Amino acid sequence: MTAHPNLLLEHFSYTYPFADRPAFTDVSFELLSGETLGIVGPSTSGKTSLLYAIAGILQKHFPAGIMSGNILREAAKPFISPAEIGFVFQDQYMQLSGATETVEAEIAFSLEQLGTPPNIIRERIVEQVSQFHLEHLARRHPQTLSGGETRMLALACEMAKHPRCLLLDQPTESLHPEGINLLINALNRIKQSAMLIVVEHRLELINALCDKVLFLLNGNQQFYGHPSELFSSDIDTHSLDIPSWIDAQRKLLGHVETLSYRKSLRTLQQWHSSNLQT
Amino acid sequence: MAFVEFTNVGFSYSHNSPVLHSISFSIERTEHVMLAGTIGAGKSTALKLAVGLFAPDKGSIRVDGISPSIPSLYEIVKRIGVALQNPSDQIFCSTVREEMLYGLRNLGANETSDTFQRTVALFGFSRLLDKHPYDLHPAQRRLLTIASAIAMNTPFYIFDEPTSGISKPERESIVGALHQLRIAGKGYMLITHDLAFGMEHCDRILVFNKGILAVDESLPDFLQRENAQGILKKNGLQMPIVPRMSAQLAQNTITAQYPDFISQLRQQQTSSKQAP
Ligand SMILES: Nc1ncnc2c1ncn2[C@@H]1O[C@H](COP(=O)(O)OP(=O)(O)OP(=O)(O)O)[C@@H](O)[C@H]1O
Ligand SMILES: [Mg+2]
Repeated sequence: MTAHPNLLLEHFSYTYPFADRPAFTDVSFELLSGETLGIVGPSTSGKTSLLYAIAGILQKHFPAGIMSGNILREAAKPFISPAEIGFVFQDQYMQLSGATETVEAEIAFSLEQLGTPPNIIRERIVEQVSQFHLEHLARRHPQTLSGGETRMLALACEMAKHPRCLLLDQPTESLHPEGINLLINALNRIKQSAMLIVVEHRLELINALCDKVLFLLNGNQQFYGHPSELFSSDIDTHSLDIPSWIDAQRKLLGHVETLSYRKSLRTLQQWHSSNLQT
Repeated sequence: MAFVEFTNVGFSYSHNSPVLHSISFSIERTEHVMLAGTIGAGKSTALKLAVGLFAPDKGSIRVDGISPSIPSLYEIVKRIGVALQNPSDQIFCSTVREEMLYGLRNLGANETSDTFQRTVALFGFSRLLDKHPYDLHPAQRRLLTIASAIAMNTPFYIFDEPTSGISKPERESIVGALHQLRIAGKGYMLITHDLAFGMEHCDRILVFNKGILAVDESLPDFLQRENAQGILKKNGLQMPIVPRMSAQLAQNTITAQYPDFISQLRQQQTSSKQAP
């Protein structure tokens, strides 16, 4: 493997046309193939815009916006083209093409757009339908799926592309535990051969999945480093949903005054480790 | 008489196998209920039936004594405020102000009405009123659907996945709003995959499993069951960490009962909300 980062952002900033402040400023990180980056921060902090910029969507749809700094997808060899980027939108309903009448056809549609040969398309449909347990929905109209089912289809469509770079905007929303497990397994499967960037509020997932985490607040990069350092660093993390085990620890420790300190600490540590494993 | 009443309700979408099988439950006007279940379990379908967007194939539904249907929709929307799972199914005005006023205007109210003003303040929307809803962040768009429902000042609310796609600040707005509803003596049902959120803000749990009502119990009773975790698991769900931990700690102490803990937490929140 090459030591060059496949994706490199240096002091990267973007302001939408007519906006009075930048969507994000001075973002810097690097990512290798096989690495996963988590992006955290409250809504409107610029996370989605940053994903759009990485995917080239901003450049295409808002060419009048002001961009500064560097974004190097060219750093990858061979160069990562927009067709090799998968994007799972935050709003799963936005992902549907509206052009197909079955779940299978919807998966095929995203590949046909890329010119994938029909025999490969058939393989990918089988692969994704089984990976996301969509067998019972394969012939259903995409517009009749439930919220969670639509999310699973959106994931299947993007993963079917076998992207070299996969961007996911809050992908666990609307999923139940089994769905989240299917997603994590799928991500672990493609992780080896791709770069993943995940925007996610559930910090447990960031901990479990990501090699690096970037914390954006009002468009400013507050932190970039290993996930385990995010809460031990002295930056202000109060705008983040703290991981539920820390939350539980705080709430319960406040409540259970009678519990001896050592006993509770031991229980909490056990919880912490078992929670990180699941 | 219960406010929302399902009696042996069966339903299927055209040509498909049944989505709901003989569901019966009744909810009082002032209750706070969560509805959980795996994806595709029929939760949103139940919501659509409750407001009359579809009619049941079997059984009957009553909302405040009225049978919900397209002709009675006007009567139903005066009684149940709804936020749908997909905000785009609901938002159709071109400004935040018009969106929030849409239902109110039907009731003969306008921008000067008390509930409009209060709801705008509650959600911090005053600076967003002239924006187009599609220029809002998706998380704010979801808040807008909830705010629009609350502005209607109905006695009961159903919110479908209110915490989906939002982060901490919006979550705090929703929590604030739910507290206000509680204080005002209004009832609600939260359809949610976020069990921790549901358990913190509701007193009763319903679980759907493939269109069957698998659990219907008061939350304190449910959480005190020895096999509560197992019951959720059997229905494809996972007990959130706080009550799970609480149960484990409770084996060592008698004080760590989750329901007590939640009621204390609520009192704290309520008193701190009312303070200044
Ligand atoms: N218009 C429709 N035509 C056919 N089937 C439908 C239609 N709408 C929903 N369904 C199916 O009915 C079942 C129940 O859907 P519903 O939307 O009620 O699920 P849900 O419990 O809300 O799930 P989620 O948590 O994923 O939102 C699902 O299997 C869904 O695919
Ligand atoms: Mg639903």
